[in-house]
Amino acid sequence: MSQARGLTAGLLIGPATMIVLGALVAPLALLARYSLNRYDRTNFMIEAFTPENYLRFLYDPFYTGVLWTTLWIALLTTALCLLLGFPIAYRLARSQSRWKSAGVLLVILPLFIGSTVRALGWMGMLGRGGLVDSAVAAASPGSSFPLLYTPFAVVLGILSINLPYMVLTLQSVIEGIDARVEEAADSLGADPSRRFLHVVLPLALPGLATGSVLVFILAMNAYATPLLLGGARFQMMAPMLFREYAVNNNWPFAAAIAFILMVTTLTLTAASSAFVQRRYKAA
Amino acid sequence: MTERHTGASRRHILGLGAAAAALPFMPHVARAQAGGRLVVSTWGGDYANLLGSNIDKPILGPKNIEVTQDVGTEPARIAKLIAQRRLPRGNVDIICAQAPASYDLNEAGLLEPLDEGKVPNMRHILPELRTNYALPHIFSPQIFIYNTERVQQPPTTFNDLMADRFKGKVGILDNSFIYVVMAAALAKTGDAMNVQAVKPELEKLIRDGNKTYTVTDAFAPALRSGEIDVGPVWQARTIFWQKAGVAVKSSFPTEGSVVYVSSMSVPKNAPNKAAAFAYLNAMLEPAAQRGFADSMGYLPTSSEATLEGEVAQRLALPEPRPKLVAPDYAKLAAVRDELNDWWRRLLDGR
Repeated sequence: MSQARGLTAGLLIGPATMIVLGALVAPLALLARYSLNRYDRTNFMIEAFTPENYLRFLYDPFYTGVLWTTLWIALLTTALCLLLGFPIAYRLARSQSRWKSAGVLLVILPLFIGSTVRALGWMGMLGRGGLVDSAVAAASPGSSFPLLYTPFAVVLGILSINLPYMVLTLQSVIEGIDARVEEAADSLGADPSRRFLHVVLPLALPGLATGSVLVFILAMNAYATPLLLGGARFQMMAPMLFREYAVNNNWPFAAAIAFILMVTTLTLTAASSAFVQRRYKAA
Repeated sequence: MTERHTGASRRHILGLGAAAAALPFMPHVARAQAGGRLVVSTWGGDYANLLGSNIDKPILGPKNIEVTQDVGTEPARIAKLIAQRRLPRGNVDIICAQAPASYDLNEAGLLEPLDEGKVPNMRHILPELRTNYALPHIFSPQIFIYNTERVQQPPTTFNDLMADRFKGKVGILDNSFIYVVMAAALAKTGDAMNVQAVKPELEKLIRDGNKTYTVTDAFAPALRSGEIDVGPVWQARTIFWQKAGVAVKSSFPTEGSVVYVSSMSVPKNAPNKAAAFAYLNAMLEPAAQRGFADSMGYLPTSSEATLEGEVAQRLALPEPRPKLVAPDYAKLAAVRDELNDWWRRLLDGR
């Protein structure tokens, strides 16, 4: 009986597993193979088995510098998403108002617009002669305040794209925390900050981790925003990877960059998950 | 995008099969020149649309050549061509690429040699642009674009861009930086390919706070807003932005203009070479060439395609005719990867 059930289960998950293997694992395996090849402009790619693409990246301060820039931008935007997203998510989750769904819709609405279009909007806001610059010039004639093509513009752009993901994740987690737990803390005399630190925060920790991982991965892989808002002088991993792949046609090096980016992101994500799990168990 | 799908009905396929079976017995059909299906690997957008309206429909349509466009970015299309190199029959008949990329393809032994026997209109090609592996389709000289409201004295040589009066106000397009390097080398040494000699000047130009743009269309708003006043760009761009109402004009460098050439060639394993040669001949027809000059502001590569009226006024090269310098693509290929690396690091400033 149980053997038959196991067989049925195997048959049921079989097709899905095959699709995942075919659509995810096979291309990754191919990419891994490419990353060990050698690039040659006339022959495009020469079959080889060499770690030189990885070594070229890891031993060159220029490339590792780009990785560091990507890391700090991703960490900063994740921290800002948490700081700004939590109050909004909390307010939405605990809201009894009939406007609650309108509030949720407002958070979701920016996701209907692609990141490239939003980056173009920011270019109009932050560029020379844009809204901010014009306002500054009107307030103090002769001065100019162009913010476009700065790390600030990139952080702002990524933040605006990632914030809804954080808010939506946190909102659903906070809604799952029983409001009576907070009321109990209140009735036992905890002030709001104590209630937050000792009751809400530990209970919301898995949600914080999920939201942070989500926006961190998105920021690490941001392409259109750094390219359009950061300009030619600001380099992050995804635009660099794309340039190697699609402009220089250097597929082996691009594949190596892709793996380095993926491994860095996965390692940090796994480390943070392990950390949160330990804390969660301790709490 | 004008990618068209040619759906083949069952009857169509059966018909083709029957025709193929009968082919050995019909020598006059087998010899028939230039007919059937032709695949053109090209960029999308305006360029692809103009190929359709100036070459495919008016010239090749009546010859029963049905053109299908394979639209994509240049590196992706080139990668595809290289990947097919070992196939006796590829699936591309014409590849549109920038002249440096065409040179690389020819070096790799992928392109069919061309001559006037195959493409009679080749004899009208401007001599400075002519090669026997890729035919120039359109070209544009690199000029200095400047904002007419803020620049009274336009730059006349690349060295002017380095002068104090334009400090911080020069714009450079990241995607055509190699041509900027060649223009600077031409001004400094008289040889556009002497690129190593000009690195210190360009390093200063970048470190002086001049602006670089990743996307071509970011250049026009920067010229309008006063973020930049001048910059080296293709003449075609000036005309495009003038049409859009930006107050800009262009001036030609006295040392000569490096030219951008967009070319077409035939892969050695093209399935329909006869039609491909007919296509190349058609793209050099004056009417087809004028269509591109009119819409995109690129200059014709055929001496037969004289421009008239308003187009001629907008595009006319000044008198005396400026020196046009086509890059030495062999030398360019030898230094391109190294230049690329140098430029990335320079912009990064680390």
